[in-house]
Amino acid sequence: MTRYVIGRLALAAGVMLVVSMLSFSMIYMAGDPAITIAGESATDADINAVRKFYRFDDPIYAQYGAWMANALRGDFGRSYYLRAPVGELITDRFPTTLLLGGLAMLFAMALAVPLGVAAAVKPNSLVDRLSLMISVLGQALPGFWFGLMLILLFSVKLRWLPPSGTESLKNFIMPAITLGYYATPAMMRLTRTSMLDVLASDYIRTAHAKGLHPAVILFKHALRNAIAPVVSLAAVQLGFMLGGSVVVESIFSIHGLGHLAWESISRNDFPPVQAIILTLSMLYVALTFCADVLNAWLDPSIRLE
Amino acid sequence: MNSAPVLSVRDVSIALPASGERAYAVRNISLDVYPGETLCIVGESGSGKSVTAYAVMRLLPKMMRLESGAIFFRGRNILNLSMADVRALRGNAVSMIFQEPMTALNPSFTIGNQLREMYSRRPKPGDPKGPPQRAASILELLEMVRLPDPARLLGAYPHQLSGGQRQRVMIAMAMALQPALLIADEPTTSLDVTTQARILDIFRDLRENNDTAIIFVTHDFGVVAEIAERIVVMEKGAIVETGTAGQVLNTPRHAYTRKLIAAIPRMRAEKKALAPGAGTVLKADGIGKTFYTRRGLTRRLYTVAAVKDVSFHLKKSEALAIVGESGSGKTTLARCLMRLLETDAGTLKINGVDFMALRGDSLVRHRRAIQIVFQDPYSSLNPRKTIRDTLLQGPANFGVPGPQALARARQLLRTVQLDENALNRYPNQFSGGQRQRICIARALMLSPDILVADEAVSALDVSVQSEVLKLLDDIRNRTGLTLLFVTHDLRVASQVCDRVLVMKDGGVVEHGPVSEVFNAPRHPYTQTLLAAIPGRHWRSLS
Repeated sequence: MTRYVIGRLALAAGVMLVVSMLSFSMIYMAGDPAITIAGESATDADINAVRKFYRFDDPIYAQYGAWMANALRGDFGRSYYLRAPVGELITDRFPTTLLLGGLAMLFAMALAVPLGVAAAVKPNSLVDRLSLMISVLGQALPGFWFGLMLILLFSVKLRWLPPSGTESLKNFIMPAITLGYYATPAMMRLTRTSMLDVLASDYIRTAHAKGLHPAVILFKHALRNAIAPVVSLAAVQLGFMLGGSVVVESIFSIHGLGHLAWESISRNDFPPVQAIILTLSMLYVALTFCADVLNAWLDPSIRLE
Repeated sequence: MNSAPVLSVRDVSIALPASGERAYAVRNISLDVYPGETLCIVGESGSGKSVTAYAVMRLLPKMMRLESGAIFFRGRNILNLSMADVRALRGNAVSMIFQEPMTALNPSFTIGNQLREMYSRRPKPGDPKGPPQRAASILELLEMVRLPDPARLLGAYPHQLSGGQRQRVMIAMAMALQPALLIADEPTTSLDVTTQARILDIFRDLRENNDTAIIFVTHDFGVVAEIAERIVVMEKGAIVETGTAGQVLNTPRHAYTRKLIAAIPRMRAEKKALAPGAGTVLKADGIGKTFYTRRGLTRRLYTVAAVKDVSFHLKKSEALAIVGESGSGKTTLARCLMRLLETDAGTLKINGVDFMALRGDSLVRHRRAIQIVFQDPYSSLNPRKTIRDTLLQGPANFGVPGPQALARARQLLRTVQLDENALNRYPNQFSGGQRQRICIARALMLSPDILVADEAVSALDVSVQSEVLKLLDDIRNRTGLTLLFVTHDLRVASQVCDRVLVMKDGGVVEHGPVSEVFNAPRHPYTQTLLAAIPGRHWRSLS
């Protein structure tokens, strides 16, 4: 197990290195960054000054090295537009995004796993079709529309929940549902398939032959074996939620990372974008790593190796 | 039989789904099981023997409907019980173990956890087996099934145990609450003979030390001869004969029972009439194969020496048996000889040609000389190709003109006793035995010098098995085909082969004529294997 964890860690570090190179080289993908920064009315002298100031003339590996060395110390440079250290911007916004993503995942799990189990217990029954319908809806409804409808119902009509902002946990209910509902269908379907496989296995037949209560068979013997792939998927989904909350954050005026990324991209403001990509992919790698370790722990044949 | 039966099955009929090949899985069957006795239900695949066992546990698959009849357990009709009452019986008064021990235990929980469940599930007031005694009695259970180091085993997970050990755990679990009836559905079928012999010992122990009645479902009359007290013979969903073990085994009344007993492969260790030809067809010297696998997510490197320094020569029209238990390397060896796997060491000459050195086109050309028939006739024919396509594909590859190949296909179908119109049909229209004949015909289409049969009859019912064996023997006598027969079954080996090579852990432990090796085995392992053959004391078999 220890060797396994070390191996995974090394792999994660490798992935991070590649991602950092990619996100660094992004700055050159949209043309000469000096021209962008200097603005439309800049003279050649201005552009040269900018180039000198940001050291765009240095060889690319030197620039990357300097950027990486700073990044490792938590210094991601300054936003060209906001004139503030990117590190501060991110630490400001990140908790909001993390809270939103976490709540959304909680909602998705709480909906998907029971629905998937219920569907697997009685395949092709009314329950199965109903859970299919609920989950297909989640995939079919565009987030911006679904979010607006929630606002219309719960904020405008019923006046139960605030439509925007981040003042209290109540503000996060609708955004979390909007973001989480989209992730539900895949997880529900996977829970269902995985449970169906497990319920048809020999050891479940053994459990029946032992005279165990159906609930014990379902939740102890079956779910424990069926949940591993769902855990992996959830980790990947959480990564998507953290990075892909741009739309939801805009609808509900939540100033998280997604919102910052969207703003910075539209302003050609690269340092924040680079830093956000790096942070999110780091999170993504960390989540996948956790899922792998959790899966390994769930499966005794890996855990005990 | 002075006491009342613990179980009475009365006129039970179980319907199959409408699309099946027959309407009933079992029809109007009745049987009784008395306390303390071992009743064997014997039959070939599709006889309904397992369905009967599952019906008693109320574990029938949903598509099977119990149409009529009654199953009385201690006087109560099980079929009328609520599911809660059925649960109270299962594992407690009636317990069951299954054919495949590798998958019968939950991989995520320890052996101890799964055994403790037997006690924790039903808290009964005044239960003598309360929590304090539980640990002791679980250890007793594991000792009863002769598992080594029981205390340590409690913390082990199923994947850390061998198939035989897992089946012992299953037996221990089934016996935990001292049931009145234990149902065992082919519990030793997927185990090696030596493991099977040990499990059968445990069943004999159970019979002697408990009052538990045992229903033992099996297809193997050898196993029946080892443990049965009474026997029920089933054919196509009906009971054709019932009687005491001595009576059914030694003076069977029904024609089907006689046919089944006659079909059991006997140990035939006398000298064969057929003299081998002059030329050496195959020379294998120091064949070795090591597998390097990275297992688990740690990608740790494991090396398994599957075949170690195996040498033998085959003369024309000789038949050599390669016998061994699972993991002995016999199938790997066969695949190396076929060059389906690349060997790491040794040389192989077929008809004087260095077969290992061949590459590309010349390898393809020489592949004609050695052909194989695999174990599973169900998965070794392409389901989307007609038999004609399957048979003609090989010759077409070697540029044999179509009409000539077709004529040979017709002739070979007659040889394997199939009708010519089989050509236009698909594999799913044939039974397992017929498919295996088709596989043999396919292998013979290229007129090979050597035919490798890799457990080619292991998946077949005994009656079909004996027909296929006879067929192979006939073909060999007529055409002088050289046969390499890979099998775990020593009796089958003795039926068709002149020489035998016994493998263990990748190496050869004994090699010689069948008459010598089986009559006077020198290596202790061969002796163990021979001693483990079920039913060897039964006079009809010896």
